[in-house]
Amino acid sequence: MRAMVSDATGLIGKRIVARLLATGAEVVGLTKAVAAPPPGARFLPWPGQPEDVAAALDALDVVIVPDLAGESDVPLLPAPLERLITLAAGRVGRIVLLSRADIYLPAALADGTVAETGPFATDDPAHPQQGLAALLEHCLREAPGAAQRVVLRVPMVLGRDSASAVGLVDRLLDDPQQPRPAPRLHAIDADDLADATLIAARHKAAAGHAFNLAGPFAVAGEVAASEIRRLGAVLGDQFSEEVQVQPDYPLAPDLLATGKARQMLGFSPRKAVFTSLAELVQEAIHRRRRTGALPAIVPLIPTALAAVERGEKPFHGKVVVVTGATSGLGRATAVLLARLGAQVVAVGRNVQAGAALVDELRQRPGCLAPEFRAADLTSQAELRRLAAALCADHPVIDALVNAAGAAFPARRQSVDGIEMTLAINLLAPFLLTHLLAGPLRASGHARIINLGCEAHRAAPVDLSDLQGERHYDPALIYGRAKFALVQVTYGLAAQIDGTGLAAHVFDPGTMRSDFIARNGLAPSDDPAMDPQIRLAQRIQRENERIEMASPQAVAALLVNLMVAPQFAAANGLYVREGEVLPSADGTYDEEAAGKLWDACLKLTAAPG
Amino acid sequence: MKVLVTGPTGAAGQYVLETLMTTGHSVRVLALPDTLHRVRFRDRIEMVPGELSDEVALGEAVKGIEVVFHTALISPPPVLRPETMDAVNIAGTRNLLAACADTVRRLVLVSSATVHAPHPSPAMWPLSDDALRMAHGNPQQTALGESLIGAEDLVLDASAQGRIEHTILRPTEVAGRNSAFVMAIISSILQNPDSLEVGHRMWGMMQWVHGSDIGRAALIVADHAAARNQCMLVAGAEPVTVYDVQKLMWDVMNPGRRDNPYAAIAACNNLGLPKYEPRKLAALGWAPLVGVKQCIAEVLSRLEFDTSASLRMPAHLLDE
Repeated sequence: MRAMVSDATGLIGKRIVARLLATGAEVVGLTKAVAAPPPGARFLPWPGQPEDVAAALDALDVVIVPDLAGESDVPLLPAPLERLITLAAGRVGRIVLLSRADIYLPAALADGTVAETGPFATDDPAHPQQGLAALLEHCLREAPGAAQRVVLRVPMVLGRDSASAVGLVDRLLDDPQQPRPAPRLHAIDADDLADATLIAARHKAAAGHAFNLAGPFAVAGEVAASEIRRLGAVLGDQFSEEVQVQPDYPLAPDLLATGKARQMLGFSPRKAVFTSLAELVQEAIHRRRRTGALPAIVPLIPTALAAVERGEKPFHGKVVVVTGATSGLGRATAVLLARLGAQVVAVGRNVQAGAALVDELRQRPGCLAPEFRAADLTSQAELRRLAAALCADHPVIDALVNAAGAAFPARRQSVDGIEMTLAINLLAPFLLTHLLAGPLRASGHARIINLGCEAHRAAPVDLSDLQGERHYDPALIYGRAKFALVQVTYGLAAQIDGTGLAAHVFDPGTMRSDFIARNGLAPSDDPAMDPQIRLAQRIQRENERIEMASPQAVAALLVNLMVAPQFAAANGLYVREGEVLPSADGTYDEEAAGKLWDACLKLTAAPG
Repeated sequence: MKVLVTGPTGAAGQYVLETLMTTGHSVRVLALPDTLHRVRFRDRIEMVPGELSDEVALGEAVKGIEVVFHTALISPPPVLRPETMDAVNIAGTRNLLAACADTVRRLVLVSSATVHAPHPSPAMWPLSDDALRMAHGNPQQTALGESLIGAEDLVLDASAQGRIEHTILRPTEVAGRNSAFVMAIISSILQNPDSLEVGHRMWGMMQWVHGSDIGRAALIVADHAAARNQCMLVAGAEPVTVYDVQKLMWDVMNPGRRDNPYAAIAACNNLGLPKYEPRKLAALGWAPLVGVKQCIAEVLSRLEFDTSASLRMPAHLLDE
């Protein structure tokens, strides 16, 4: 097929051109201004060189004139279109004219449903557009020539790219007093209209007919206005509580009877007016976001992860010490920090796992390879050696994450004669923080993160049996160590308050890790247990494990505590799963905390 | 061109293979030994049996290959342990990259649109190709997201080091043969046609894309200069909720009738605005061809032999 489309860059014209090209048709477009044609099409200026257009017309099957259905606030001159129709009538196979519904009598449009047979408006100087439709339809009827003629009468055309439709929606959103757009809205979507036009250009039976085209149903103007305002609330605020189910709106009687197009052309519009309105509101809202009239969308993602995604390096040039960095949360934290640009000092016992971590990060582009320092944190001598080396190598340390922790099924003592749970979970972070005080203070903004656990809530510290000498219950001793760590962290936070440094307790929540299994703490590890019960317990543990968060996800929340703006000025927080919570009441008892602090000093011989 | 498809029996891989059969490319597949009988077009392709953990098989599979279509990533349902997903998706991709980086020109990875950060409010729509990623959702979805992001990161890293070119395709809900997701939705609607609120809350707004459209997308990006080192959404054109699925199922089962009882509830639960906008693929001339209704018809025609309510199973069996 060879076709000419006037107004080829307009709201409808460009859609028709695209559809024609997609079906392999040859397309000549007429444009008012100079525009680059899409690949496969040829554009001519109109009204520019009538001779060129006349020559082009000679070889054509169909001429489509969609000008009248274009943007309603663009004034149209009838003369060039009349000239085009007259030129075409004697030269081409078919002319399709898109006309307007306001060719009908306004009174009939106001109350009822109008069919293609009228009644028609008489020429009314108050509504020049209406005269224009009548004028062009008249011209089409009377032009001498053998061309078949088809008239498509359309109401308001809606489309994302229709400036006048978006403008209308804009006004309704801006001004709650703005009246409804019309008593009844029976619009048609621009894409549906372009589809219908193509059918009319091809369908044999269409010749010599006029067809009404409109959307699947009409709504009252008030309904359209309230739907637009509802959509404005839904789309304008990402945290909106607005119910997202559309209310049950009544339908209005149709403005135009569209049965003829359905039966003769087989055309049914697909897009409901509510969908068109949603697109227009979305367009208006996006425009406001671009101009700053509405706030930009806030991504629902922790600051730390957003930085990774954007390739930002908020830790560039910063030194972060992470203990327990060879597995679980410590490892995930070390990896994330390295990706954010930090110089990570990874501390752990397992030399092979440490080498694997260094190796993994070395292979990642954009990461600084971490330093690995092997140390058994249950030994105070090793802690002191580690701290001395760190102080020597790093005069400034920007953060310390005490991620190492453990629980033991039976009471064991460290090389210093201290109960192991206490040594690793409480005294190691306590002593390391003290020993690194110099480089941490030197940074001026250091963050110290200790790991808490919900187990602390049921296990207040018993100062008379700190090391579980009288009674050893692994869960209780572990909970007490964490309780004490919370107290110590608060004490530390109070000491450094106002210096720009901050200390927090971070509770990983229910996280997938080998923490329980590693030291043989799992109940099913009891060799005396019935194998069936053991199996059942293993399956249950497996199912619970599937529900848990991964170390990477928890590490993002931990690192978030150091970079997110909402925590920038905070100190002494207890954070669980990204939310600030109160810890157990007893942890806020300053007198008890003071006694505990002294006990820790005594056990570690820490410097002040 | 000589190409390799991993996972040639999967929801996306079988369509990538099918689309490749319409071209003159020479195709090799890497398939699990126990799926070899399900690989189609066996008379026209080379087959390497093996797993992604098998270095020897991987070395054999990538020999002389220009483009790898890596479609062997796994996802629930059924329930998968996070470690299993990581072992296949992350470790498997690492092994594959180790075998093919520096020799293969381009890797087309089929990931998923679920890697994007949550965007529950329509105010945040439409999402486009380079939206931020974050694993989210229920534990299974989160674990899947983490393993997919892990696999993507490996590919992105290798690409950043100049060892291979990449195109990552991120399809939304995949329909077609083998789509456990679509089967699950349709059978749940068949079994419980009157209580879809739970499904609506769970699945929300979906944008199904048919495997054959993913196959076409994969073929376009395999060779296109503009697809070099890009991540691209692959999304269907129609936003649908579970209510729309129910409505369309009724349409499929009652051809020619216009009195669909589910039309009203479907319309009021769907704004009609798409959640995902695959701009980059659209710019390459790709558009989805298979609509949701066709995806449903395809499943309904098979379902009768499978889990359909028409089997008239006793109620207690249906519940399981």
